[in-house]
Amino acid sequence: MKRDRHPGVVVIGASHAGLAVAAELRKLEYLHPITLISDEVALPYHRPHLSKECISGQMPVPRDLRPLGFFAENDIDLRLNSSVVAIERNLHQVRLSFENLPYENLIIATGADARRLPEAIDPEGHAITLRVRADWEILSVRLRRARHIVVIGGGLIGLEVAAAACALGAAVTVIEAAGQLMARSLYLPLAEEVLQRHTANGINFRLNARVASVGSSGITLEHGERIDADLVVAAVGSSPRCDLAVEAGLACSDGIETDAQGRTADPVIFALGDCARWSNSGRSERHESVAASQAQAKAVAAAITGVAAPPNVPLRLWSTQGEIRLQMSGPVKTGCKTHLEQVEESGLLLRAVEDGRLIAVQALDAARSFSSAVSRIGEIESPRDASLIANCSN
Amino acid sequence: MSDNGEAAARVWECILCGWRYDEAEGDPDSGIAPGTRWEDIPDDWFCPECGAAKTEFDMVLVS
Ligand SMILES: Cc1cc2nc3c(=O)[nH]c(=O)nc-3n(C[C@H](O)[C@H](O)[C@H](O)COP(=O)(O)OP(=O)(O)OC[C@H]3O[C@@H](n4cnc5c(N)ncnc54)[C@H](O)[C@@H]3O)c2cc1C
Ligand SMILES: [Zn+2]
Repeated sequence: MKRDRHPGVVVIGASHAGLAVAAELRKLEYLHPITLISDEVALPYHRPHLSKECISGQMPVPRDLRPLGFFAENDIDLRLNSSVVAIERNLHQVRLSFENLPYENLIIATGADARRLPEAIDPEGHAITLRVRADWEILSVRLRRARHIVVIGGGLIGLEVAAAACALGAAVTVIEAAGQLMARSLYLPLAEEVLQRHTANGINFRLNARVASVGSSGITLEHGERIDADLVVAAVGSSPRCDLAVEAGLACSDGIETDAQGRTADPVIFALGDCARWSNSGRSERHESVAASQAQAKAVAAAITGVAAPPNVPLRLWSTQGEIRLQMSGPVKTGCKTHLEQVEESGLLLRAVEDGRLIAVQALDAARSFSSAVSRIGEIESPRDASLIANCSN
Repeated sequence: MSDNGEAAARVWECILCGWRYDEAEGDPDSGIAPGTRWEDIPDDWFCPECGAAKTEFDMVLVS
């Protein structure tokens, strides 16, 4: 079928962010061609499954983001296993290995790479990382053979991998440079509870500890302690894939810089998802979550089709660490009051209050309490409400 | 397709990510036609936003 000759939208990256923009554009009845380019071989998949159900073995492969039929039905030209090698802004086209594709609007959704340890610490590259499906395939084979595992980084992904490894019967030690686990996403009282539960399950922790070197038989910490390991996993954050944008002269600083609707300095080019740094009322931030990608996708599609921007909704994040299930919504800020209470059977609900207003909710094994508390984010938290919630917990 | 129109369409919410399944709208992207009642969705269907299983959904009352 020959569509119009309008160049339409080209999207670089077909994961959570890129695919969500394409789907959202069609929902808004965008009529022109949409080309989605992915350098991965597999059909787009749910990335969070990699460190959860896939690593523990509950799921044989991550689930597809959309069934194959979705792309043809929505007239989205999905190109797997192809890389964009350059953005030629003056020509309004992107360059692939063997062809050029023109665009009217370009969307950069190139995501991020797992950050690697500095060469000075791991000169032979023993530590392995987890970001894409191919990484998971390697990691799950190595995990099932290893008996002593060191996980560097006590964040969301590090703890998910550690809990899965522990359940498989390995001896696991987690090294964290900060004084608490998941410092970017959890308030301290809940982080302490997570630490206790993992410790009770047999995971060893070294907090406030830095790795000095990684070798073939283990690691050495800066204070000299040696920990033997036949597998070292580095889960030390991500670095945004901005190289194409930088070469095209777009402003980047730990993320491609955009306005509050994802527009870069070039008005026809947008960026979103893990590769982008969105600015909003004077603050700029690189969000790294499925929910943020989806919210940004709605905003970008609205900007391109010229409809009103969607309202802001509280974004959610979740993590499954063995038996522990965490859910979070709202920012982690210093200087606000937190209330931790027992809810449901053995669950915990934390509410963070700033200037009398509920700004964040976090839950451990308390999905239902979480859902109802999330809807109150932004509201004035009166002391009576607080006691009411505590009394209602069952 | 099932009997929409008869009973009012209900809404189910994914307890992980908050995505809502509205019986009136279905989930056409995953092959679930508008009007499909919750009971008639296959057990291997999952949340299109976060991949959570059907069992991770709760019915919500929408006013
Ligand atoms: C193991 C793991 C667990 C996670 N768990 C959670 C979770 O529980 N909850 C949550 O909310 N978030 C989680 N996240 C974060 C979430 O997966 C990311 O926020 C999300 O994937 C961001 O989507 P994205 O499309 O921006 O980037 P990505 O998912 O990184 O996708 C970018 C895509 O673009 C491709 N690409 C890059 N450059 C090019 C190019 N030049 N040409 C063609 N293709 C290119 C990449 O190969 C990739 O496929 C997790 C992440 C990981 C790695
Ligand atoms: Zn969901």
